[in-house]
Amino acid sequence: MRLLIPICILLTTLSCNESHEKKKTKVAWPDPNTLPVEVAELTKAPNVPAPIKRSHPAKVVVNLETREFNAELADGVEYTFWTFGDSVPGPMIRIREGDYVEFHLNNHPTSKMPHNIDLHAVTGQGGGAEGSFTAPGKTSTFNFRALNPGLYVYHCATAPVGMHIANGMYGLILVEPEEGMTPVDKEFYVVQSEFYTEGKFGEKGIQAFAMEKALEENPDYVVFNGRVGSLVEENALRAEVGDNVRIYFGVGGPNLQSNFHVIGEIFDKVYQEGGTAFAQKNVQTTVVPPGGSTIVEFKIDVPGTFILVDHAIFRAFNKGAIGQLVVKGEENHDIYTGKTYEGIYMLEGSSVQSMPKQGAKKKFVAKTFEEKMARGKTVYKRNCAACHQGDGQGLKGAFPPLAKSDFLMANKERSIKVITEGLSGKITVNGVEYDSVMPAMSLDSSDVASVLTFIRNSFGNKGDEVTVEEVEKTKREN
Amino acid sequence: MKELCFLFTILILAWGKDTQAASFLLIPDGEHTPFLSDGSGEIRPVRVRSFKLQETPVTNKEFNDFLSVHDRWRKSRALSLFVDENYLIHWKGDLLSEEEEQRLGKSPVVNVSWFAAKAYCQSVGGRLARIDEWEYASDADNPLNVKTILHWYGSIAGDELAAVDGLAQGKYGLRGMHGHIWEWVDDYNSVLITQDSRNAPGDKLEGLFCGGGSLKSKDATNYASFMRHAFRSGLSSKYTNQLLGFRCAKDKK
Repeated sequence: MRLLIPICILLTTLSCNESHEKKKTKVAWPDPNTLPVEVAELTKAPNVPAPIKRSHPAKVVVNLETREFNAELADGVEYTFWTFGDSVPGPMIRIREGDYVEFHLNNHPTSKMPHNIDLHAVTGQGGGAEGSFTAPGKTSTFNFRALNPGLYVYHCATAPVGMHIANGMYGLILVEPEEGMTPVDKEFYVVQSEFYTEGKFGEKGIQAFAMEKALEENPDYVVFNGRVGSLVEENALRAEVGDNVRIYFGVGGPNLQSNFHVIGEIFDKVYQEGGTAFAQKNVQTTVVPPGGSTIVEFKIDVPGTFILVDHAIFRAFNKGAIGQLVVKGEENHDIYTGKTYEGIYMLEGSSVQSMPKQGAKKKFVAKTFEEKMARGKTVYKRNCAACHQGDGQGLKGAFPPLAKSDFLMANKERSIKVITEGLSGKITVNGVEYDSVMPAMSLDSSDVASVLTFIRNSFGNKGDEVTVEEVEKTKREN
Repeated sequence: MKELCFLFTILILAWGKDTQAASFLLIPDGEHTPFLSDGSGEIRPVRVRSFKLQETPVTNKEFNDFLSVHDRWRKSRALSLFVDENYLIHWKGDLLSEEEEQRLGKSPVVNVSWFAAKAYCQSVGGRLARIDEWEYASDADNPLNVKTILHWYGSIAGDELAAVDGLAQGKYGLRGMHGHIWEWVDDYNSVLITQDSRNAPGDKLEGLFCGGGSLKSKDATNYASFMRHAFRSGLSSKYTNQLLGFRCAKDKK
């Protein structure tokens, strides 16, 4: 289909039959020199270039600069970004199917690195990477025909590609289909990506790229539009009730998929993987791979603050993947009321008053060694095994072993204390130093006695029984 | 002809007089495992013969002294075949002004092409080091150096480069091999990291991008070395860059 129209333009004087014949046998595009020339509008996220009004292909000139500079990744946290167009993500580019693009990549003289660009919208070697490899202070030009409509990621592909992407070199290019995009009220441009820094999340100062963390795919930051807080408060996306909203969403990576979700909204349509047909209606969370994209559309029915997240939720609340869409307008209680009542939850019957104390009294108390071993095993599984592991071996570097542990067996009283009061700071277990925290366990004295009896007589340990009296004595003395 | 020789000798002597001749340090015999495969498959250690390498990168002052004799390398006269339009762009004129000498004299000269660097080294009876020599002498795989390099990549260069005599000494006493500037090597273009080759499986030397790269390098996790090789492969002999300088090598007599 996409071949048909340019051919028709070329062959307007010929009969339809002939053009049909040609389509089958030969690909022909209008000579770029005959096309009208325009310079592409490039927009920084979250802004989107204006929809394309043309109904014919054009020669589109794109000027994109690569530059390396320091900027904030979070408040007080600086990072040396490598960028397209002075921003992370790089600017959004919008062209039309069949356009002939003259692409200029300009590498700023202050760059340390050579850079290039691989646009996934390009059919050709390296997506343009091969034709755009540019040393600092140089410029390269290559041309391509936009054969396939869709929403595409572009990124730097200079070796080692991972580091160029990890430092911020990606963005989106939208190739509108010939028939154009359905008009909507608001369009936004959002890109998710991760950063790997030497310091932990939030550690102030200039943070260098951490190669090891990138190799382990264990980022400190997962963010929208290049920094923590790029889409909140005064930078929030804004819309009004009744608006049809479209988000062009991409994932720069380098490593992680996004599980894109807008809290309090449902995507009416999802153009999965940035393709041109919407594959699904009524979607809560859509997966977007690194180097991939999606287009989501939804109508806004009620006002509020809707939160954009990666629903791998620790990324949202601990690593920065949060944005806001603030919607103003009239409430609609037919759809959502907000809180209409708050009160005390009354359980039925009289059990409310009597349950806690009576329940405690009925609790099983292990008396014999065998009972303690059985009870202790259960308590261990519930409270201890997550860290010290089912076999008592612990985890190297984080949780000390209990199996054949000199620290454990040396001092019964101390072991009781560790369970009842917790322990933090440096200790040496079997010659290895550990420096972490174990929280106090809220176990009653009987369970402490059981679990410690179990631990002291399992995993190769040989010890005596721990009594409830010993536990209570230790508790009293502290 | 004799006269020419005589004149040349005088000039060399004159040149030698007003510069503190940069010291060349002896680099011992050894083995070096190249970072990248030459395309033949397995990466094998190569023997590096003992040679001499300048303790510090060539400075603006030293390069200025070279130009005061070899005036065809001054920027108003240098052929565009051998230098690009940014050659010595950080100097106002053909030679260092007094103020510039004060300010830049001891800093490494940058914005010089491979041709110009080569000509300079010839003038001191030397040559540019080869990649294997440079990498070997620079102790590039030392984890401490890798860290320095990564930090350098992750920082923005200030306007002015530090004086060479204050640069930290590495192995063999060499100063400023890492974390300061890039340096020309003689065979900078012999290792082909092509512009992009993720989809050219037929080409042996290619494939240094994305997944393919890991097969051709001895340690695909060493981003510090990867970058240095990628940078070199982006160069042409007339290119200049504000972070690209050089130092000279000599064969051991």
